[in-house]
Amino acid sequence: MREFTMQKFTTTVSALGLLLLLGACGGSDDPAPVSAAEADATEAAEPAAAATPRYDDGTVRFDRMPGELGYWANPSQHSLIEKGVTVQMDDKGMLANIDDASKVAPFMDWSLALYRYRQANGLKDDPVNVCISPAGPRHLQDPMGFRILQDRNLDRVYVLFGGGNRNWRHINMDGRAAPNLDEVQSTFFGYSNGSWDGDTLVVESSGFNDRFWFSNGGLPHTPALKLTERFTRQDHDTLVYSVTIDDPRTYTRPWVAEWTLDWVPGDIDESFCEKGRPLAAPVQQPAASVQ
Amino acid sequence: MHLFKPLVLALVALLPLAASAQEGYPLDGTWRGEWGQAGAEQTLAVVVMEWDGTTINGRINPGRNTINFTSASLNPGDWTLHIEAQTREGEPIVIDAVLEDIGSYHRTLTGTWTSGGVENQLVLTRE
Repeated sequence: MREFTMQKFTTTVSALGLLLLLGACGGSDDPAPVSAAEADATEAAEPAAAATPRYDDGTVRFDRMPGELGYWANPSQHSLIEKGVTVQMDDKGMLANIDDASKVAPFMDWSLALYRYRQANGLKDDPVNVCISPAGPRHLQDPMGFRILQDRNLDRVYVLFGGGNRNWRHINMDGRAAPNLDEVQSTFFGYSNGSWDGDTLVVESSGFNDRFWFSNGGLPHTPALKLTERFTRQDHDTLVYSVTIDDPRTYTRPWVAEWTLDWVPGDIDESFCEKGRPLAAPVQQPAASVQ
Repeated sequence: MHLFKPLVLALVALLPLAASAQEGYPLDGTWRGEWGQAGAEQTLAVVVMEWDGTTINGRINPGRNTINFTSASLNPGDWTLHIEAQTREGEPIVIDAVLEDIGSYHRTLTGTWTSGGVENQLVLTRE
């Protein structure tokens, strides 16, 4: 891809810093300059985040600027939870209080019972334990992080993630129609078509199989699942992700979950998943290495 | 009836090809097992179920002599399943079973198969 080729030209830390600076200042769609008084007031409150990186045509850039290293990680939530609901859970989606289970999503009776069953069993049956992909929105809450690569030549977006079985998905950006689900094989990542709503990347997906858990914590789904995802790079360091879950065989109504992710300088650590064994310890990459 | 057993055996032989993990509605999929009196010869059975969001649709021994469910319900409180069906000859079949080992790919249904006024034991395993 073009981005990879360009990154080969940048091999020093100083060049990286320069390009980061250019990324913060450049771009045809940068917001209008603020007055000195406004700027002073903002700086007094908190350091201003760098502006959202963009391509020359103004399109939001979700991945690295040339020469930059970084990826998305540190999700503000670790499981799908209906927007506006607050429950305590750990980074694997285990509830601190199982009586909070019914608050997490608008479950049907059977799906609530199955969710509680999985929680009560300490998530021991989680398919990721045997290297089944953390598909659906789950790969966007993986602690190992992910990247969003925009291939503008082929009108596709790729999401590469470092956790689980270190898999990837692709999103078609060429305006094609959603597939007839009676005519396609259901898959772990379904069939995703993307479009732009202003600066927000909107992705609609369907055609999922039910051979995986689509969230940490064991929330169920069926092949009737449809997702509408909204990716918004709010500024250089912040990605806002929102997903509408529509699975009329599992939930009583469509519902929304939302979380933010941080831009983390560096590269995704290397890890491997092997059936029956815990994940290998991540291999740290040298901070200044460039792909 | 001479063709029935070979047909069921052929279906059973093909089932592993379609076997896969399934993490959604816990009854969805193909189940196979046996029913009969304890200690006596058992009868093979294949049961296919699919949840559409409101109804558990299903059939017993799919093929030329398919027996469709007339009703089915799952109580998630204790994972008990009740199925009613009727053969082409009008003979009612009632299945009452408990879903066990729900987290396993090869979870089981254990209970009774009542037909001809006789209650039999039943064990089905999800493929």
